[in-house]
Amino acid sequence: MKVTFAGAVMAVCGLLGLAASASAHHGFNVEFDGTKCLDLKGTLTGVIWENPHAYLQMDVKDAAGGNVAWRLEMITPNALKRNGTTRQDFTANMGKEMNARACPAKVAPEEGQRGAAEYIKLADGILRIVGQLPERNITPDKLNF
Amino acid sequence: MTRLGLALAVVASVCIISAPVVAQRGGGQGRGGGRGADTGPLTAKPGVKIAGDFDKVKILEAGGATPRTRDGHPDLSGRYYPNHAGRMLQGAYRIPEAIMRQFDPEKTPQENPVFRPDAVEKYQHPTPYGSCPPGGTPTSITTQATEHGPLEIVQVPGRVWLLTEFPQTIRMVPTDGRPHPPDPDTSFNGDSVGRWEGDTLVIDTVAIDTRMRNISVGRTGDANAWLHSEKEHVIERFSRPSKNYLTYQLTVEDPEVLVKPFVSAPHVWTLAQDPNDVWTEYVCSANEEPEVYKNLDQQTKEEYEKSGRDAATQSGRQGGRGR
Repeated sequence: MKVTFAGAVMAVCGLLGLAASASAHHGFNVEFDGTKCLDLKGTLTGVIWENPHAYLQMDVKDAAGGNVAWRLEMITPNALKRNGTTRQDFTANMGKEMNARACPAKVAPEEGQRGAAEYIKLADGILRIVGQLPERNITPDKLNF
Repeated sequence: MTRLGLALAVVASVCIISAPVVAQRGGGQGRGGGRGADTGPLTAKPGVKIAGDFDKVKILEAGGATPRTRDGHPDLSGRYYPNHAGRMLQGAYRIPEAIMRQFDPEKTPQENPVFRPDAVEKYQHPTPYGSCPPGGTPTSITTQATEHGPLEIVQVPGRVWLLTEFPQTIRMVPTDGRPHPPDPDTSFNGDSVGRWEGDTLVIDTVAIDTRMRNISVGRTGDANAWLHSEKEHVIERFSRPSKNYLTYQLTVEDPEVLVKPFVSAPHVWTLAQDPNDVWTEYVCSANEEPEVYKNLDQQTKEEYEKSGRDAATQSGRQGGRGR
């Protein structure tokens, strides 16, 4: 089980490492489109815990039944940690179903999809605010998950 | 001194208690550096827990009298957050503005910097996109208005250390009465000396590297950053009206860039309440990849570059909402 998980993380990291560069410190609107945010439901496949932004990776089924790998930017690890979301929370829920409300990047990567997460819910059922919230009208009680 | 401290604590308590808890505010004016609610309180569906307990955040009480050192000065030592809650609030963007912000613009208005018309083109530049430069003085502190990170103060006899996680900054300020050197070397944080004026620690800084931007000095956010000249002179005033509250007031003089000195409102910081809230490494440059910006379309880039300059030409009170 451990080997499977580690292998999956490494494979996804390897794929995305070439295609999508990790963004550094920046404002939201320059890079992401806050008018095209969407609900994502899929499987948590990875977490990258680094400054200045942490990332999660999830597989989402498309209409044709194929897997689309999403890489979602979050806020900084030190802020996530202080506000109740740790790296260990992701590893404990790895490979399990998760939901995200996220806004896509203005420029899509060559492979998969890239975006910024607003809210997520991992398999533990806790609602987590992990990014900036450009959708002022979407409060936690209005989420579809 | 103790009576004075007690009196200040009482005054602080009254101010804090009387601070209005405004759950809903419209518009982006007068945000006091915070980024709180304008659409309602942060609540989840019944039975759903929100990580971080953002729905339980409250305005921190005064916490008792100002701590003091043996020599009678206030002891500023502690870890503080740029809000009224005594904890980090990055991500808690829907909590009441009165908790999130550092000052109430209706009670303590803060005029934005007024730039010399001939300085706009040369000095108004947003932070280069995707880069993680050092903060410098006073940005390592002021930028916390949008970074929401902690300021840690370590006060020992003869000196005060000012530490911020991001931008990761270490400032050592002598408080033993020494003046600036006659010809101080230029550095990112500049040459600082401190002195006590009553219960206020006044830190005077010159010789700040002109590559350092002033971020959230006036309007908040990187897009409103501005550069300064070699003549910049920064005066920071720290006081601790009660155990849980730190006040930071900033004055920036720069006759080549500003029509008149920028004088901030007193900004509130509150003492971290969680004993498990410890110093965290935050080396941003490990993940510095400005090529993300290069891949953006030209219109987006132009909008970003232009945003700071537009703001700079609109002098007056209470500017943009930052990032």
